[in-house]
Amino acid sequence: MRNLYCYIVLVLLLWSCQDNNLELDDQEQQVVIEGWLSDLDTIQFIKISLSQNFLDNSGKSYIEDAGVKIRSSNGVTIDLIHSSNGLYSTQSTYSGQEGINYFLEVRLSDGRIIQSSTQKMASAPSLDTINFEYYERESATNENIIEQVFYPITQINDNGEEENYYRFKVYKNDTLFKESENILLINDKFFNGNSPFIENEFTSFEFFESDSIGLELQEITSTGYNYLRNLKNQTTSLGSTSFITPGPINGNMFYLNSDEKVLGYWGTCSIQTNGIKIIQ
Amino acid sequence: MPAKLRRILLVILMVISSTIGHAQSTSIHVEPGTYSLNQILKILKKEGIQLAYSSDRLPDLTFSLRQEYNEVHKLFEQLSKESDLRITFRGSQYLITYPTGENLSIRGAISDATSGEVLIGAAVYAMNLESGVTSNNYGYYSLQLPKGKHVLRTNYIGYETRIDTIDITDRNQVRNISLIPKTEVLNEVIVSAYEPDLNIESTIPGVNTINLNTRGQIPYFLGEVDVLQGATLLPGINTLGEDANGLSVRGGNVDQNLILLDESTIYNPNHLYGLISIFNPEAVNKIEIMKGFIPASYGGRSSSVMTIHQKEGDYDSYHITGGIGIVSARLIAEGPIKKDVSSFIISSRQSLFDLTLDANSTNYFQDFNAKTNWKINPKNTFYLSGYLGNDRSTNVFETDRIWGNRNLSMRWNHLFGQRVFANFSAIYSQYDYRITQPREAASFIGQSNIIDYTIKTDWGFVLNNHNEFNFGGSTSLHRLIPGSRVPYDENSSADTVILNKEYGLEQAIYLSHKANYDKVKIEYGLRVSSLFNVGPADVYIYEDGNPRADENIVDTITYEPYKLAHSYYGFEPRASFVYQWAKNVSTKLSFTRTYQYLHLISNTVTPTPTDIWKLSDQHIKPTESNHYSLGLFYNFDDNNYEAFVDGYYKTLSNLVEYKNGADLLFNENPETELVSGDGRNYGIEFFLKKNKGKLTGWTSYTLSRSELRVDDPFESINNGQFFPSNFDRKHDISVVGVYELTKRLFTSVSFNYNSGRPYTRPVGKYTYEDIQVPRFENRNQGRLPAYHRMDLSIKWHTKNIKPDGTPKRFNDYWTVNIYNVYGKKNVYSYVFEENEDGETQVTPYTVIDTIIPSLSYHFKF
Repeated sequence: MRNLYCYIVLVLLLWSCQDNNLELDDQEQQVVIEGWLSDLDTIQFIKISLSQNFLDNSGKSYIEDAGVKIRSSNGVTIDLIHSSNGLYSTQSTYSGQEGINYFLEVRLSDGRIIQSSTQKMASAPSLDTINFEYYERESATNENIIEQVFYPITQINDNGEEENYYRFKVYKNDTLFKESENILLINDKFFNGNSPFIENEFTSFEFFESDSIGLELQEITSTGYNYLRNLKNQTTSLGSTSFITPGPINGNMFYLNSDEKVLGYWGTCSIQTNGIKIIQ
Repeated sequence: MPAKLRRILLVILMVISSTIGHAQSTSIHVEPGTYSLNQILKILKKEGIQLAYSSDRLPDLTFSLRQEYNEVHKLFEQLSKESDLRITFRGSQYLITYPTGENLSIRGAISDATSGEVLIGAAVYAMNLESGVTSNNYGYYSLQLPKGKHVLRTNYIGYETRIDTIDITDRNQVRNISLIPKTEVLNEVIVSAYEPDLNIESTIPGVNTINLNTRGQIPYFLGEVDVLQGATLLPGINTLGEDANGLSVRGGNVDQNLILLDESTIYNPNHLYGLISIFNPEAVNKIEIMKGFIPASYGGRSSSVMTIHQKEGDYDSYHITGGIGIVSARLIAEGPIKKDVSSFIISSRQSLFDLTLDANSTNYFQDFNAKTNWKINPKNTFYLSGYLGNDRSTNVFETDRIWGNRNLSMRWNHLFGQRVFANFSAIYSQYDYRITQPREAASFIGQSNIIDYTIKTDWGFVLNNHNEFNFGGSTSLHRLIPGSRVPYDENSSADTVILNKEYGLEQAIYLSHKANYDKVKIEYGLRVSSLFNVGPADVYIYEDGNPRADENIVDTITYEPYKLAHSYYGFEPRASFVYQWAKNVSTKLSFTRTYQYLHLISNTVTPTPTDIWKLSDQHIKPTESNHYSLGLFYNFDDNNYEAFVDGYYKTLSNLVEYKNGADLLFNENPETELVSGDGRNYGIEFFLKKNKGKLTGWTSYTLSRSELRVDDPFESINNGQFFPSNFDRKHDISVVGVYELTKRLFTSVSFNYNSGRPYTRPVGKYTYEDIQVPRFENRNQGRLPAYHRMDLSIKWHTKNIKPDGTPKRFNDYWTVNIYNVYGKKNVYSYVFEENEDGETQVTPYTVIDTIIPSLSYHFKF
């Protein structure tokens, strides 16, 4: 029995050891570029910022003096001018053209040049059908109340002649669900050329009676799809019991004259939208 | 290493070194002259020398002593020189043995006297010859003895030692031996060698046996007796944490363990995503884990072999056993089909409550075991056993997932002639995952599975008591369906998508020799394995000098059914050398090479039920493992204590690793997402176990490293440098104690401490579409806080004796378990997120953060 007590003492000694604090190293800042050229006739923009140390909460840094151009395979060059907080936008509305290849060029003030891979503008299928469904659950505030939770249903008329990559953006009363778990990605690997109803993928979006649902269907490139897939995986699964081992998320931007990495992604997207108000 | 631990180890080593002693020479007085052997022995007895020999068969020998002898050992040296006498010092006496005429063979099965179940690893020992063997994996033994009378001792842990006087008279003697259990016990787990000294003498270093019978019980999560959870308290065996599938043995990945249930491969050994193992404690009776040296009869995995034996039904009477706890309810029925000839056992287990952590889904499991045996005659026994298990998870949106193992094995044991044992097996193994998603988009029924059809044979040839040969072979046809999806119904917009099946014929032949002498024991052999990838198959050819990627496919070669697409061969030498310094001390040196042709493809930190298995092929080479082991084994205080220090170094090549951001879901050519790596695992294990007395238990410490390197020309990880694997745990300490408070009341404690698991920490952050994204670079450069936990258990047997002193037929006991006694919040991982103020924060994630008590009840009648 004495040995048992010895073990217990040993355990208590170990228990008294405090866990190590998380130590994270300081790192060089890297350029981050984000933006999507759409086929809507609208002001197009990109954002250029700098990465930070992980626990740095001092505020974001932006690059505000870069020269930014979108170039196309049909010889068009569009300049984007800085407005504020690293946001660069076209001077007038512009719409990307289906089938045209585009790339982004960013000239930093220190002479380094960043370029994106070529992105082909797709043509998203029309989003004619939109509806909603609901399930019931106990109210979080009162378990005696059964509430109806609504979610959207729509349909994609997929083009069967090529691989298609889709992203949905979902708006509730004109406000975007912008958390990373709300990045909704679908490809046509399992319904090529068909017209599936999209239902199951929307069940995590919660709407209630009299809310308005807004859907934006984007057709993007496979590289853009994979970038967003990795970004979503690494920002949503971390910490779960079966998370994917994180690693660098490779985008499509690179320096022409340097081995440094550029973070972020710039791509093209063709957009269709639709909306409905929940009235039973 | 902590100073206290260093001191303990030093004491152990000092005790070991001081005990490696020799017989002391004793003074005698023998004049020169001519003596018969009988006369010399009588003189020595008068001189007070303690001797042991069989006087009725003393050889008629005469010795001419030319000088006076004053020291007994010098006299014995002379006698040995002039004759074939073997004189050894044992304990306090000299044992005199001598070769006799023709050796004859005695053989048979060793079994439980009450249930008839065969006992594996039981020792049969001819006391007068100091010679013995242990029963093989099928419970059979074969012993070579001279004609005449012998005293046989048969031992097995948990059973009364049996002494028989036998008279070997004819050449072909079959003698089955039955042993009586010490007490009527229900199922619990303890770690043990089969019989005293086996851990010293066995040629398999680093073997641990988990027996399901002892009086006390180590604590378990929610009171569910679990052999895999028990295994994690052994040195060198770990998991990634609570709620994590599989085991890591000596730093290896979970797919590097060959798990055999009655010889049938188990591909997923866990229920409830890793909370408990699939092995119903009422249905299995023993687990053996070989992690140091793997005999030539086993192969196909790089780290370890775990053999699990299902119970055999009672050949004599009918019994019902059962139990109920928080996790499950269990029921088992067994009995004779024909008394003493044939028996059956069936058992079933059903989960009672949804115990998983996902609030949006319900999860249940059940399993079913069955086994029947038929002892056709003393030379032939037939076995049929099976397992069927399912996990089921259903979420609120009707998505239904079912997965599990299905196994069936048929075995026939046969004795050929005097010295040859043979086993023939036909085995079916399946792991199946099925998902039904009735809602759009593309409502579907999906499935992936792996099926093995195996035939194998194993032969044992006992040349004499010192030499045994084992040989055999196996052929397995692996059929893998990596993924198939069919529309859920006629309204579904889903296409039918079926990934190419994989077919592989894995074959092996082996031959090994076991030489067993007084001080030296050697087991060596060669296993030759091969894999033939056969059609139908589509093999993608990638452009030379470019990474494997869809855009670099330059050709596709289609192979017709049964056509050979690719093949691999592997020569796997195995060798283990044991030098026994004394009866209770030995050194073991071993080498094992294995080739692994099947790989679990997973890019998650812990494997999931959806992960698929993949055969080696043109692009994925077999994993080669070379494992060196050196250990010192020591028993002391009349086998009350067992101790060992075992060091190992293992190199691995062609490990299957995945690229950063790999997309493995329904991937037609997963090789585009995989890269090849190397590994090195090394460490030293310390183990001390107390077998007897009111307090029993063990303590172990492992100091180890497990590292990986991926230096692919197109995708190197961590700049091609070695980095810690997910299973790298520098320090691992386990302490287990079982204390007998009264004859019917036991308490036990287990404690586990290990270094934190490596994790990939962010080197920065950035914002993309208003989402804060941690920036990761190199894998596994951070380390979680150390893990430690203590569990307690109290076990109470009700009275099992009637007032008149006779035993009751009905036996039962209760156990109270307290998991995580001091409520340690062990960090499983870190969550990197933004708080409401937009500030970055790191939140530790804990799977079990509180004390979990449980109560369970068990019975047998």
